[in-house]
Amino acid sequence: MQELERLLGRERCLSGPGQLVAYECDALTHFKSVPVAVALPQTTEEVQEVVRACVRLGVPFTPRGAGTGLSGGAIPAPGGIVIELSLMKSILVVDVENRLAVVQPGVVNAHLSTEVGEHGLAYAPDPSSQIVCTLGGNVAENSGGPHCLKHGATTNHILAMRCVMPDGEIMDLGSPVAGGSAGLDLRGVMLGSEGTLGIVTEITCRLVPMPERVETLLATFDTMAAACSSVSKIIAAGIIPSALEALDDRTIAAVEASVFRAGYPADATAVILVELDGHPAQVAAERRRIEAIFQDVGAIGIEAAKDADHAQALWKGRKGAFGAMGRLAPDLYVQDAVVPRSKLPEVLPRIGEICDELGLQLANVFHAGEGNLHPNISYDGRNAQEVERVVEAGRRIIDLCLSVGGALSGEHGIGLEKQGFMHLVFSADDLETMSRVRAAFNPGELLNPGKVLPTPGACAEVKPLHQLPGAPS
Amino acid sequence: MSSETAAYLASLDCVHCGLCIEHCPTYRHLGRESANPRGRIYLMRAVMEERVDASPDLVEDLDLCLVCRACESACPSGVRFGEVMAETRHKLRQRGWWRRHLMGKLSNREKLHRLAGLLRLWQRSGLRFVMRIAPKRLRRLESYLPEIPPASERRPLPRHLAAQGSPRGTVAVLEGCVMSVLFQDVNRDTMRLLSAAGYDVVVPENQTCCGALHEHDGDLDTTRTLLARNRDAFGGPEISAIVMNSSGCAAGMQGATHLLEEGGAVLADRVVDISRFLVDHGDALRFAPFAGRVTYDAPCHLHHAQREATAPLELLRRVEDLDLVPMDLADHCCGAAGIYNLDHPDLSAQILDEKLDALERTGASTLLTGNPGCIMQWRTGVRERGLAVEVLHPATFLAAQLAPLD
Repeated sequence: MQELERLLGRERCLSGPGQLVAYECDALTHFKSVPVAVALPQTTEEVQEVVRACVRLGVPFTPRGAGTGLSGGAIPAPGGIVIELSLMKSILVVDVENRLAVVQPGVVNAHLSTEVGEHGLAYAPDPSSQIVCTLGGNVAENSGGPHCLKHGATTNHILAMRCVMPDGEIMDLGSPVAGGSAGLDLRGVMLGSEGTLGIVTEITCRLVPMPERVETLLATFDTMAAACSSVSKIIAAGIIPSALEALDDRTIAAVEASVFRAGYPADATAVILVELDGHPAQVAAERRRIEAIFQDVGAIGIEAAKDADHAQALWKGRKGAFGAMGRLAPDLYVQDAVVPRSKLPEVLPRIGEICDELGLQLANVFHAGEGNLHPNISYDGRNAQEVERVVEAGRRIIDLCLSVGGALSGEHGIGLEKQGFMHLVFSADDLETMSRVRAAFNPGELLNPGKVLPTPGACAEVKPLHQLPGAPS
Repeated sequence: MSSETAAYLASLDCVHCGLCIEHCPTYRHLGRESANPRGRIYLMRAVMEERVDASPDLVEDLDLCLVCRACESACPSGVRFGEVMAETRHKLRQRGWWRRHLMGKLSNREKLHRLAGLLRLWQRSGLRFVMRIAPKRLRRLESYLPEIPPASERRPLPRHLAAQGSPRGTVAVLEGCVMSVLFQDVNRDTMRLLSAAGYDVVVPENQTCCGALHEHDGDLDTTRTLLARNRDAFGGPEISAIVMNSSGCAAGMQGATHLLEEGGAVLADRVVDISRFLVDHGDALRFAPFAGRVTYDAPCHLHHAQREATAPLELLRRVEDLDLVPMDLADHCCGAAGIYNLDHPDLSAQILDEKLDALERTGASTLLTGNPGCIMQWRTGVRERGLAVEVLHPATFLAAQLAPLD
């Protein structure tokens, strides 16, 4: 503690008991662990000094961005400190000609697009929390977002990064020359490692030109099954919209009651929000084909955004949906699992059944185009028995998604939340390989310990995937 | 502490999504979770649940909140942050002598104007140089204090101003505490605009300070007393609206609904900002053209607390030739926040600094903002930075552009 104060000064080193409690969890409030201190460095060198001090003293350390993570990745280890990167928010370079920007990790995702907007450029990945979440956090989680369907997730947009490694050394990974590649892709290893391999302190981001034409459509359905089947048909037709999202009636009601009211139809059982971008002729042709598909599967309404403001309102509603669920109950658990798109019509009702059986309130809002589900379960964390049922629902939903050939996580990461499920998709050998990779970067495991990979002995009761009913043999 | 108060229940609406945090001026400058709305709600809830103690560091980070309520505009879950904070401050706050002293004066017109007289004497005494060796807070307080107008300008408002043309109704105005000392001219301009719009304007007797600063400070008992007095003073059946030119006071009086047990809504529902009132009922007004660049800064208690984002701009657009340019961060707090600039001069100055940069980028020579605290804060900043920008209340600006009736 004194060591940190000496390095950063009192203002940027927190040790008050109240201040520390605020860091006991991120946007997943289910797990809690109070840090012993919080450091707020402003430069790569300061991060390096803090890390070295931790290594010297044997204190675990966990980096944190905006704390919007949904898998508990920024929750400190017992006896550990948090390295809060929110003050590292400078955009260091904007290189318009080469379409790249170099930023510090605390730069807010949406701020980068705002900053480069005057040059007709944007940073493409757009997590729903983009108005607050940081690029450092996006790199750690390999964040997705509605528009990643066409443009790719964070990993497709990060060229290079500078990291402070767990031993305090500085390492540059990747190549700032777009298209440059040599040796092992360590940048790819670091990206999405959930803050367990290194702390990213400078990020070189690819910028993309803004599309010539953007069209946003909203289709209304009286059954979720019809909405989902339109999704598979659009993709099967060879169209890749820039975004393809679904919201159910409970989500619509919560959003429409909020400041993000978007004018979604109140009588809809489900809506599909689709965006097309590109050359005007191509967009117009795709729009005609998509409208035909919507009609085909029985949409009860199809509406196009009147202008950019209207389109923005429709998106704000979608992106504010998670927070709007606070209107339903004090706590919220967002599951993040992926299923093959063709299985959506079959899986969604079964998730509904799981929650009904357990007496839980479910709302669905998800990245339909990628089959990335986000069942939102509202509950009251003060009721221990209800919490147990939520955990049980999460487990059953995962079992269900895996049984139809899905994946554990789309974009929220494993963190603390899903370690116990890793055995379901990875063999002991796979996990051993991953832990060797981690040990190569993070040998003492002082950096963000206890995340992603299961801790030995913790998951003895979890059945491997091949023992689940309906699993592919 | 009871765990089922309205404030506690309101705190449960937060699901910790964090969409508010970038809207928080103190978080933007301090970067710590305990100084952003999500963290503060989390801590207030933890204190109310008696899960954590109200440690000094926790209380300090709660005190650092401006209560600008920008987080409420950003919150998808509709958390009533201002209410939770007022209630928590009410329960935790220890008030120093000078705060009690200052707050006590606000609700007593006689004492307040006596104090104003003394301050004016001081300002004209030629002794101000001694402030150079005064403690920082006192120095800041002194520099923040605008020139006190002479007694002739501080005289009470007329009780009544008749409508021009045939009357369309009767409206009331609040004379206010700080407004009546420092901005009586704005009050007069407000009355002129309303009269020109065709309304009889009354200034009810027995009215008092709105109580907003007391609420901001967590003194809910005094707030309730003052609100009740105003509820009775403004209760006349002929009054169709209480037209406000201080957005902090307006937001404070709107709080009567949840703070007063009886008849709070009668007061709260009649409160309307002058910009909204004139957009809706001011079609008779004619303004002379103004050739100049003007920008607008939204007072938090208008923009976030009253959710009135468009009326001031709509009204200003009725002035021909006006070059109205938007300012970055116009919906962010200027750092005035009641008497925040006296309590936390350093952070308040940092917040203002960022806003002054934004003002300079507009190139405007006039800045309009509809709240006395904001006007004083901006004037201090503009003076200290040596900018040639006039800071005015929109009512002052518009009253000066009033064209004579045909």
